[in-house]
Amino acid sequence: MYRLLTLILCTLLWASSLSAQKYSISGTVKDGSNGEDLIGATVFIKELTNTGAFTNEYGYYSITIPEGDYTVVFRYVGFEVVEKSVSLTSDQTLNMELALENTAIDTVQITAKLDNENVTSNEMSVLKLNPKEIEAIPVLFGERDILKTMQLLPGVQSAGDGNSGFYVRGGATDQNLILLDEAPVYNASHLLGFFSVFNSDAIKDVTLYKGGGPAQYGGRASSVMDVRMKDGNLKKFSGKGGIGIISSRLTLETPFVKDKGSVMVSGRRTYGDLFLKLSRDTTLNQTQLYFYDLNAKANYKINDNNRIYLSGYFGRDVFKFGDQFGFDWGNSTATLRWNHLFNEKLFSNTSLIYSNYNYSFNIGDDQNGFGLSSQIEDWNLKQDFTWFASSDHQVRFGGQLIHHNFVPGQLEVGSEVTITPPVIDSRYALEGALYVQDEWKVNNRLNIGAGLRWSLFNNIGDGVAYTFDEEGEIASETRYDRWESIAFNQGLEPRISTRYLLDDKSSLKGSYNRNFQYLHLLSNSVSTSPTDVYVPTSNIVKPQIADQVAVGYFRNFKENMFEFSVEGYYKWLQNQIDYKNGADLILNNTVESELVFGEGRAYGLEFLVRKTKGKLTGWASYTLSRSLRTFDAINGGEEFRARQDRPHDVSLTLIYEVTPRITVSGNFVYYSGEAVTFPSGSYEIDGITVPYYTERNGYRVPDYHRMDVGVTFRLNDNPKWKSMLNVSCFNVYGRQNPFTISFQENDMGNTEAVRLALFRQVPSISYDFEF
Amino acid sequence: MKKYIQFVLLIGLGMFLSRCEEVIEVDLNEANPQLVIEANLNVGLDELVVNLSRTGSYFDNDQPVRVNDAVVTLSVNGNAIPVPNEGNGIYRLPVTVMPSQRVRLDVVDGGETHFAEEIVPTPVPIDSLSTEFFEPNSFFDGGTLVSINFQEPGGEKNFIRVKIIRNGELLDAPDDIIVEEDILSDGQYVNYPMFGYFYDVGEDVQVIMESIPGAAFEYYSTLVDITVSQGGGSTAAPANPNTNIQGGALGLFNVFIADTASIIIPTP
Repeated sequence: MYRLLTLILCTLLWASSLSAQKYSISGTVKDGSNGEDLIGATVFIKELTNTGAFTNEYGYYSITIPEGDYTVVFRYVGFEVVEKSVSLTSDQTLNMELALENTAIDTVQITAKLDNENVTSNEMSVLKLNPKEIEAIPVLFGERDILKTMQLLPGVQSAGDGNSGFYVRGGATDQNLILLDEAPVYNASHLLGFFSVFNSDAIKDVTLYKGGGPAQYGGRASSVMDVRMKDGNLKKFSGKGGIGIISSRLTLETPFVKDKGSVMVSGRRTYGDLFLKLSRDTTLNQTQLYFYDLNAKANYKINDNNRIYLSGYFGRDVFKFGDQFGFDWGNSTATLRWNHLFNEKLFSNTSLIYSNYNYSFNIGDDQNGFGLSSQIEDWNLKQDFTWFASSDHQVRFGGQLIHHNFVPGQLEVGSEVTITPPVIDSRYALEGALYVQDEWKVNNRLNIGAGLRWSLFNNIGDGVAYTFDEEGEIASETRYDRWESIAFNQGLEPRISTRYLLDDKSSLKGSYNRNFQYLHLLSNSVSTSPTDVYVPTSNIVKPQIADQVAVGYFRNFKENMFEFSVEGYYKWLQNQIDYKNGADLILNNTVESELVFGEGRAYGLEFLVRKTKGKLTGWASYTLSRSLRTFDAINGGEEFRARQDRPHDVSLTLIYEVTPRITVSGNFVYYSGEAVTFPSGSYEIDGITVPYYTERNGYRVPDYHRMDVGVTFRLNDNPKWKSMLNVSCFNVYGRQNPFTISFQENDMGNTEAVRLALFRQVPSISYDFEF
Repeated sequence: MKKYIQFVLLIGLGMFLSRCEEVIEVDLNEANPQLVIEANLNVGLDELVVNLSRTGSYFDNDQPVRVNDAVVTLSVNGNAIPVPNEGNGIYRLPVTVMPSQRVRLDVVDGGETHFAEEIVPTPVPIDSLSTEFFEPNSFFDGGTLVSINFQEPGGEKNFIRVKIIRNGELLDAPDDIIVEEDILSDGQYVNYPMFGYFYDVGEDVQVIMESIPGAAFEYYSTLVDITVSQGGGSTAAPANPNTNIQGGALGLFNVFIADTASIIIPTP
């Protein structure tokens, strides 16, 4: 592997040294108003076609060209285009700050990309959003949520109302890697899934890779969602906030050394339970029911070659009913990053990352009660290099090492409880990866991105490894010491993506990628629950493997006013996990005996039309797809539909600017009902009517559809104080989409199907400000 | 445990949302009728009762179709004894068996053989019942909890099923099925509180504790999963209960030894 890496690097070095005398232009591109790095800004040379670069996650770019006189063009949507003449006789640093375009009309942006970037970029199966783009889109309770808005795009499906889990191209909810400033977020939901943990005021940019993800990403079978926090205003003190019906938010940013160092702090809290304090009832006024988020980030530019960032997230949900019950859960993450420029062509980022997800649950008092707690904790060291090798090659390479600690469940009982609490062993694992990825401009038409990731996973002690017989009883157990290897797994993950430009308006793209997933979520509830448990790949559980092939056609119309794309994909899934009937996943030391393994496949076609300019903007998407599984132990070995198998999925989002101050918007969503298992008969046992099941997921719940509308009024719009009022209604025609369908016996003794819907119309109002 | 989490989740949901429940039409397929065997060998009563029926339509309220023409045999340590039919799908046999004997039930129905084998379990007697009073608060009206005290035998795994007769009436709703296994307290003296049941002063509570085979524990645990929530709640993908019957029939061959105790709820 090392040899392969060295070989590739040497070849590239050699190739780049062959050409005539060349110099580089490098630097950073920033937002001139607040000094935020602009991710994905375009820098290109006017005189040379097909020569240019995008800024990386830290706003850095580098272009190498022969000596001469050039015009360098800087572009980022929503900002003024800047052209700069240079006379290139030596390496040059060119840092650029871009000014916002006329802000009054530009607050509703639909895309943060170059006009025809969707056609020309190498990327396919990638979705990008930034919080600005979604300001006007109506959402539940007026809480802007980038995760929910992402679900309006093709190939990404909501796991349902009251569930912030999402499915990407037929994959399960745990097959999505969610990164917040590179730190994995294991449970991205608040309040049982009604909201995501991402406070959009603190977020700069979100990218979702549905497939074809570059080699620096890995660890999940279906997708990677890369969420980047704002760095903090480097120019002046500024703030942003909002007051909504269930929560309020406030974000403050300030430089501590102008243009060199800044901090950002952002908080959000719900306040529904504050009203309970007014109650005279002593249990009720001690009841707590809330969640909060705190995002904080600081960065400091030590000199032109070194910059450090420290960012953190802390969020928690708390339920507490007097001193009878308590239930709380939350994520904490911290990321320390060091950007270093070795030279104008070699950019390095080193990150030390901490991530923790835990929950605890208490019932009763100190004498008779019990408490349960569980957590997953990661320490992660990452080294990433971007090498701007030549104008034709941009290479990323690096590696990472993660130490995982899983505490599946610790039970503590009160002093007077005689039941001995079971001891559930903690589990440990080391996960590593080495990768290299080259973006190669072959010629004016053809771009190839090729990468290879070598992932390694070592399930280590201390701990006990069990084997099981056919009945699931323990056949053998072996004890391992700390750091001793219990089971080692590894795999090579090739990634290839190509773009062929047919003309300047259309392109063909194709990709293949393989992903390994070494962590597995065990959940036997219908919705994602805070009590879900992760297990590592072990002597029993094999890594999940996904292979995906995708092809796409991209075409823009009317001077890039309309973007159209169609992508088709086929995905093969190996070592998928399901549960034995009646599996007990909580507080079970031998939880692996409850699992069964099988295969899956998913395929689909995704259509997207976007209108990006004019008074009316928005998009329409349609996905036709299937997701199927085959397990020897389930459904008699016959292939069955995965729960997320939804053949049809339509969404329409429209935003209309009535006047510069008033914007009207609406969403419409329609998708096929989820696959479920319903009985096909019944019988009696012990005088109880028992349902008789014949087929796994053989039925569907009724189709889901919903329309949301909203109006945004811009009340103040001057640079010192901007404010807006947003009035919206979720599910405006009151469709009762099923949360569950259950079968109950009515008073007459007849069995009937009862649908539980969570929402009818949910009106909301929120006030937002910015200074 | 699962029940508590669900309870908390439901309270959380309920406080935040106006939930709307409505009866809807769901179109279900008609499965081919399948044989259902409900066989109980009550060791203390020296009696085997086998109830044979077939599955019917899910929404129909019709009486189940009884099966009277099957051939039912019980084998005790290899000696086969026919179990006579007494009509209405019931087959009854007076029989005496001892703990750790091997018993096998055979049912031949229309040329298809279904069978199950079990070991007669060892009895676990109740030592006493005790009570504890809980003060009322705004979520809870207060009441008395009853606990069963018994010596867990230790050694091999023991499984119990508890039935409650409250003021002379057997609690027989799906969520009144209580089964436990001993991994939490192997070999100890156990105080087992029957959570979920609170009584008022003066109520007559009779408790039947049955020592059951592991297969029956497995059966009732998985039965509760699908009957309590009926496809809607806790299990992502419901399936038929795990049975010890081989050959495709539904149901259970249960062999149990019961002990009973009763208590009148005292003034706290």
